[in-house]
Order: sequence, then structure tokens, then C-alpha cells
Amino acid sequence: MDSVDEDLSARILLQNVIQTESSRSPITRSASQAQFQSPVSRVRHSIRLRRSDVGALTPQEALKQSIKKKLRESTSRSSLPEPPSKRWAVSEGVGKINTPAPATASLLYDDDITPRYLLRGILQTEPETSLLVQDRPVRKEPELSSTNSSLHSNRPSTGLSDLDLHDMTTTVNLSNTVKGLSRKRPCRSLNITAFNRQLEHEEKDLSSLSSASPSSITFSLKTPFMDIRTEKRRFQRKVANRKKICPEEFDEALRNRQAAMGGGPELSVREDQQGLSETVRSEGFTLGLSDLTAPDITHDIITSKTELYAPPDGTATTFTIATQDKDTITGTQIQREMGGMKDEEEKDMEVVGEQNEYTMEIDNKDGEDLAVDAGQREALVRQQESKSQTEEVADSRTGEDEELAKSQTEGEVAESPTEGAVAESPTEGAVAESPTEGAVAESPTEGAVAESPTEGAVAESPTEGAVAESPTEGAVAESPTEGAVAESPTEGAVAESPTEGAVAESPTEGAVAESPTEGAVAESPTEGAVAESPTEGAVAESPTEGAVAESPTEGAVAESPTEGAVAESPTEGAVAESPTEGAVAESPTEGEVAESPTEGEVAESPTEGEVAESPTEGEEEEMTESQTEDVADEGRQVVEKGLTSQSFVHNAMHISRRAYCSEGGVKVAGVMEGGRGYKSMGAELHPTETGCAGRRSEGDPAGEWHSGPEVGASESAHSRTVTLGSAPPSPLPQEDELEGLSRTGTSLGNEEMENSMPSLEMTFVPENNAPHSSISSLHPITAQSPADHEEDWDDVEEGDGIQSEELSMKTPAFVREKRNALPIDPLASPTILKDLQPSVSAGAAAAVKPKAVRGKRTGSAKKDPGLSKSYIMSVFKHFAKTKVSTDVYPVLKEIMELYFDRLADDMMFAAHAKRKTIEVEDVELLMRRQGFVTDSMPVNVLIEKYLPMESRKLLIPMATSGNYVIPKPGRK
Amino acid sequence: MLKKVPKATLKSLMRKKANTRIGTAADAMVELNVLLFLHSLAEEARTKAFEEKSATIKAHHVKAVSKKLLKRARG
Repeated sequence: MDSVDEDLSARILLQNVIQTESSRSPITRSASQAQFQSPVSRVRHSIRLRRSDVGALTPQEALKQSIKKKLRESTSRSSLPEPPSKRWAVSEGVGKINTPAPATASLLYDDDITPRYLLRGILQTEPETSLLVQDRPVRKEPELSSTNSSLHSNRPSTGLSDLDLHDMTTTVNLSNTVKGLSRKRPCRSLNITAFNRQLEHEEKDLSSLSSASPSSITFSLKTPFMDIRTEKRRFQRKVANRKKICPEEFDEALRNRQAAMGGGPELSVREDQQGLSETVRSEGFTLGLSDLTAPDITHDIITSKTELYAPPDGTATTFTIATQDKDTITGTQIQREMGGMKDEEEKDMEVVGEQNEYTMEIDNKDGEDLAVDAGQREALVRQQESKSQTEEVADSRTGEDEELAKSQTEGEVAESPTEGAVAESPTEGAVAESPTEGAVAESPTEGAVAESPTEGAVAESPTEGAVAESPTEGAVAESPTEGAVAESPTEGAVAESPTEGAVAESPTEGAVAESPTEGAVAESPTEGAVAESPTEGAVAESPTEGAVAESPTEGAVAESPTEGAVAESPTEGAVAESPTEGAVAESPTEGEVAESPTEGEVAESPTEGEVAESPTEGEEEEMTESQTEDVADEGRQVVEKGLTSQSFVHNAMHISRRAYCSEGGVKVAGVMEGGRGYKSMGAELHPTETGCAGRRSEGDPAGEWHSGPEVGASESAHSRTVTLGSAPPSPLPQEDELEGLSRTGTSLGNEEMENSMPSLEMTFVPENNAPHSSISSLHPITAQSPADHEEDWDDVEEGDGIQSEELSMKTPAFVREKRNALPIDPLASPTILKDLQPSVSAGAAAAVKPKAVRGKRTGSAKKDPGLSKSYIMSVFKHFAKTKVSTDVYPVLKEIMELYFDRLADDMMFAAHAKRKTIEVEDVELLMRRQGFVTDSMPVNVLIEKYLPMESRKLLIPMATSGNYVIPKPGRK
Repeated sequence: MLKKVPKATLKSLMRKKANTRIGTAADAMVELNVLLFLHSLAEEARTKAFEEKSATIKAHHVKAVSKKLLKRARG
């Protein structure tokens, strides 16, 4: 619970800590610093008042209460006069918290009493708080810290610095933020303001003065694990006596840990990095960044660890720290972006908690090395910190570290095979790796560290396919590596699934990557997937989620670039996916673990169909059953069911697709689909995604991605497909559907019907190459992507065959989901439309729009036969010779309608002489009757006065060269 | 310059029955008729507006004049 709460609270904790810290800080100030209290108390009072007025959040209130209790206790302990000052201080602290700086001091004072309470309160209250808030304070804090040199100013400044660090950590790890707060406080208590300053200005210096604090900072920034531990440590330090604990001891402990880590088989990468960091830390960091930046967060973490270790060793660490800081900053930015979505953050928190649990389990499982490391760390922490709370934190941290190490090790060795062996091996190993890995997998190989992430990403996407990885190893391993790697490669959808698995990392990364490319929609699904993965059989869920997430993301992405319907497609995709994922994903996981990848895919497809249909539950059950059976068969059945229920046409299409996949290179086809979808979307979206990945990983992943695009669209597509692994097929159908939908939607008013039609068309396309081509041709109109997709399909079919069935199943599912989601309302009509549309092929959608427009125009013309507004108004204004208000037109329109009605009647009257043709004389007679033409005003004068020359030539005979008179003047 | 009236629209408006045809130059005369009608309408509306000490012709001015003009335009 604690771990979970902590995880959940991480963000909340930060906010709470800030709030609570202020209260604590006053107490501590009162106790430790009586001199400052009086002045501070005054100021603080003012601040407090402000805060009370401003802040009315429930979490804040809880924190305030806890703070008050603490204050009372502290006051009782301390002399009577102190309490007021403390209270004031608390109020001030709160005010400072608003400003971020003051919080730091409070923790130290209250540490003994409050740390745990604060943590609990934070955990409880945290949900309300948001990372965003933290981010703000953090940013402010750094500036303050730099500026502030006096004790008070220092504290705030330190707090700011801590906040900065925390922010960074928060983005990556919520715990880091908490740590940062705690650090700030301890620093003040220890009079470490100098340290803080140094840290802020120069992180290197921190190691020497307060090695522990810097180390903690570095940990928090670089690695969530470290951050958590550091946070705990910070708390412990604060609570116990940071001063008592010598930085040297921390350094030693860190070194020991590093040695253990290095010695331990957990992470060869770590060892390498550590070795680099130890020998040449700066180089190691640089290398790590370059190689692992994008792919491996773990590397960053490692680097951070090394940095932590390094600081004590020498100045060289400064460079590394700087690099780390940058990384952390980037991470913080990403986190901020992530933070933008509170829901995601909450999910992340949950995920973190789950990860912690996983880590704990993993620790038990993993082995002595990890345990030893953890034990060492814990022991060190305990000795130094000497508090049980810290121990817990350390455990969690150690666990996380272990997990990280595991993930890294796995990534290096071949996480997918080993860990994934259970579930991943089938899907990932064969399908994902061969096709996707070919493209995607390569990235892993590039850098050892980077590989893990890349692999993770690749494997994950498939795994989601790979499902197995997430469950077995735990979210932790996947999250770090996958989170970074997967996101960058997968782009969005794929990346998300891994990220989800990664719990802590995933949220940040996933959120970041997604946010840029996909947007909120995509993220939501991924998040949901993440949460589920930890709780349930991580494996099954992850795949399904991955698929789901991908589909929405892709859909959104593809749609946005190509069509304008973007908003619709994303929303639809998101909606459909979310339901499907929740129900479908779970069912597969529960049913069969090993099958999970395939099942997940299959399940997804059926679930999607079911979801679309609405009677998801019943169908889901069926789906689950089918899943237990042969995945392919089940998937098909499910798909068929869904299709039948939704629309036979869709079923046929799906089946045909499946058949293609199963028969020729069914898997390949699925991959192809994925590739297409990715390509179409990918070319456009990928850049953004790559950029995101580059930001996150900065190194290998970005390079890989970039390289992929460079190599060729097909390769990139493959990599994408690989990443998608299980999901790949889904993306394509989705895209196709989306495209079709967008096309239809845009063209026709009946979006749903159209959507269904497009989907059908898409399905037809897969069945028949020719149809595909036609569709592709059509697609180009709406969006280039379709054609690319088709091409990709062809390529995939030719090239790959392994993934086919699962992929095909997956793809159909996605397609179905999309289709279902779109056509749900128009199910009946869509089928008809589909029947008709297939024949029409791609052209239908395009034609539909024009027709609709024409119909509207004709209808409008028939309905509104009157003269155009512009003509009437221009003429009226011309004759009015004065200002004419625009509201005249309605009246004029009515008048003209009446006038023409009467004119037509009069014309008939004029044509009464057994003539069906209205001649000029008839009109002239009418005009004479109307009074326009009189004896004094002949017609010709009027014609010459009012009509242009073109009309005048027709009415007034005029002699031309050659003595020809036009028109013939015979009448008169 | 006055805009040229859309001939097709004008013919469609003139053709109350499907079997009636419009002469070659009849539409031009109809256009002239329309212009004259609008001219009279605009002048009457302007006069009405000026009577009400309004420099701008407003809807109620046109509406007030329309009945008289439509009655006069009856063939």
C-alpha cells in the first residue's frame, strides 16, 4: 500500500509536500531558529492569509490539518512562546510553498514528527494535486535559489532548486519531487543552503558538501528508482539527522551499491556505464546519452546513479551531472506535458505503485544480486538515515533499481526472449523480431543500453503482443526501456503500450510521445492499458492495449494529416478502443497467459467488434472462450461474430483479410497493414514521433527512427509494423477505415454510413489486390496514406508471413472496432451501402460528396429560385443612390418573389394568343400596362438607358457593316 | 455598372409552366422589366426613407412601398 500510495502520491506528494512543508518548516524554524522566527512569522502570517484565501483544495486542507497537528506537537515540545512563531512560520511556509522556496526548510524541522504523516497525508491528498502545480513551483524555485543567498533566501532558493530537481524527477518520478522537497528541508536544517546553492549552481559541489543530497538529486533526475530512494533518503535524512549522516558515508554506500550493481549480473549495461562513469564519468554520460538517450531511460538512470556515485569521486561528475540535468530537464518537460493530463498522471501513479509491487516481486525473484544491492542500499540508507520510513522508501527504491537493472539486463541480453519467453517468445520472437525487428529491432542492437529500450519497444509493441514481458518481469523493466524506446519507434500507439507496461516511465514517455503525435485520445487508451497491465496479467493487457492504443493514435494521426475529419476519427478511435481494451484486454489475459499476445490481438478484434456492436459483454465472453481455443480460429470467430452482429459485409471483409493473412502471408498481411497504416501516417507522423523520441531518448531511438525513414518508407513501415507486432494489422484497417470515414464524413453528410462504406471498401481492398489499388487511388484523393498503405500491404505480404495470423487477427479487430464504432448507428444502412459501395469502390466516397453538393445546390436552386442576393442588392443599391441597410434583402427577396409570380402570370397572359413562346412584344406590352413604357417614354429609350450593350443589340435593330440590320426589324 | 442578370435564373423565374418557352430577346426585356421595377422600388423606398428623415433605406421603408409598387406592376 505504501508503495502504491507513494506512487500515486508522487505528484500529489509533491504538492502536498510543498503545502505541508511550509507548515513544517515554520515549526522547525521555531524550534531550531528562534531568531528568524519572529521576522519570518510576520511575513509568513501574511503569506498564510493569502494562502488560506487562495488555496481551498481538499488535499491542501488535509495537509494543513496534519501540519497543524505537527505544529501543536512541536509547540508542546518546544517552549510555549514558540508555537505562535511556528504557526506563523507554517503559514509562511505555506506562502513559500506557493512560491516553492519556503517548503524546503519546513521538512527538516518537522522531519521527526511529520515525515511519515506528511507522506501519508500526501499520499492521501495527492490525487488532487497535480504535477503541473509542482512544475510551476519548480521552475520558480530554481531561479529563487540562484538568487537567494541569505538563510531564508537560501532556503527558498534551495527549495526552488529542489523543486527544479523534483520537477525533473516528478516528470520522471513523482517520488523525486518529494525527495527534492525533503532535500530542501534537510539542507536548510543542516544549513546546507550552501550545498543547495552549490547544487543548484554546481551539482558537483553538492556531492562534497552534502553528497547525499546531490546524489539524491541526481537519482531523482535521472532515474525514478533512484529518485524514490533519494526521496526516501531525503526524508530520512531530514527526519533523522542529515548532518549526522556524513555525505562521505552516502558516497561510500553509493559506491558499494554501484559496485554491487556493476558486479551483479543484473545490468551489464549498468556495469559498462558505471565503469565508464567511474573511470571517465563524463564520457560515460555522453556515451550513454548518445547511445541510450532516446531508448533507455535506464541508461539515464544509470548515469544518474553513476553521477551520484561520481560526485564524491571527483569534479568530472559535474559534466555528467550537467548532461543528466539536461536529460532530466527534457524529462521534466516531457513530464510537464504529461502532467498536462492529470488523468494520465494518476494512472501513472497507479502504475508506479504497481511497478513498485512488481519490483518487490522481482526483487524476491531476481536474485541475490538485486537483493544484495537493495540490502546494501537499504543498510546504508538505514545507517545513514536511521529511520524505518527511509528503509521502506529505500526498499521501494531498491526494488525499482533492481527492476531497472533487470529491465536493462533483459534489454541487453534479449529481454523479449528470456522474459518474454513465456508469452513474448512466440509472438515477439518470431513475428515482431523478424519483420519489425528487422527494422525496429536493429535499433536495440546498436547500443547495449539503447538496445534494451529499443528492443523493449519493439518487443513490447509486438508483445503487447509480447504481453508476457510486462507480466513476468513486471512493468518496471518494460517501462524504462520500452517506455523510451517503444515510444520513439512505435510513434504513439505502439510506444504507449510499452510505456504503460513501464508504469512510471511509460506515463511520462508515453504521454509525451503521444501528446505530440496523437494527442489526448491516444494517451487515454494507453494509460488504461498501463493500469490494466500491472494489475492483471500484464502480458495480455499490454498487447491488447497496445493494439487499441495504436489504432486510435494512428487513426488520429493519419486522419489529421490526410483529412480534416481528424477530430472525429480520434474521438471515435479513442472511444471504441477504450471500451474494447478494458473488456477485451482483460478477458484474454485472464483466459490464457501464453496465448496472450495472439489472444490479445484476437480478443481485441472481437472485442472491438463487440464494442462497436454495443453488446460487448456477451460477445466478450464469447471472445474469451474463443481465445482459449485456437487464437486464430477464435479471433476469426470473434471477428465474424462481431461482423455478423454489426454488419455482414464487415465480417466478410475481415474474414477475407484474415484469410489472406492466414493463407498466403496472413501474418505478413497484418504486418503489411500495420506498415501501411504506419507508413501513411508514419511518414508524416513519424517525424513528430521521432522528434519526441529524440527528445526523450535523445540518442539511439531517434537515430534508429531517423535511420529507418532514411532507409526507406518501407523499412520504416516495417519497423512500425514490427513495433506494432500484434497491433500492426489493426493500425492499417483502422487507418483505412479512418480514411474512409474521414473521406466519407467529409464528403457526405452521412458520416456514419460513409464510414461504414469506406471500411467495407477497405476490407474489400485487402481481399482483392485490384480493389486495393482502386481504393489506394481513391485514398490519394483524401490522403496519400492509403496508397502507401496498400503498397505496404503488398510488400508485407510478400516479405513477411510469420506474424500474419495474429497480426491479421489484430488488424481485423482494430478494423472491426473502428468500423463498429463508426457504423454502430447506421449498421443496417451501412451494410447496404457497403454492398453498393464495394462495386463503386473508392470512387463512391468521392462521388458521394459531389452528389450531395449537387443535390444541395439543385435543391437550393429549386427551393430558392429567386435571383441571387448579390444581384438584387447591387441593383437596388445602384438605383437607391443612398445607403441601404442589409436587412432590406429579405424584404426585397419576398417582393421579387411576388413580382415574378405576377410577372409569370402576366406573361402567360401575354402569350395568350395561342403562343407558347414569350416574345419581346409580350414583355413590352406588359411593361406598357405596368406603366413603365408610356407614349413619352418609348421602350427603346428604356433599353438604351438600362440595359447593357449586349442586351441592347438583341432588342434594338442596328445596322452593321454590309448593310445588315440585326436583329431583323421585321416586327414593327 | 449594373450586373448582368443571370439569364438562366431569369428564365426559370419567368417560366411558370414547363411548356412555355422564352423568346430569344424576351429575357432581355424581362431583365429590363426587373430593372425598371427595382428602380422604381428603390426610388420609392428612398423617398420613403427621406420622408422619415433617414438617410438609409431600411427594410420597413421597402416594405411600406412594396405594396403600392406590386399593385402597380400588375399587368
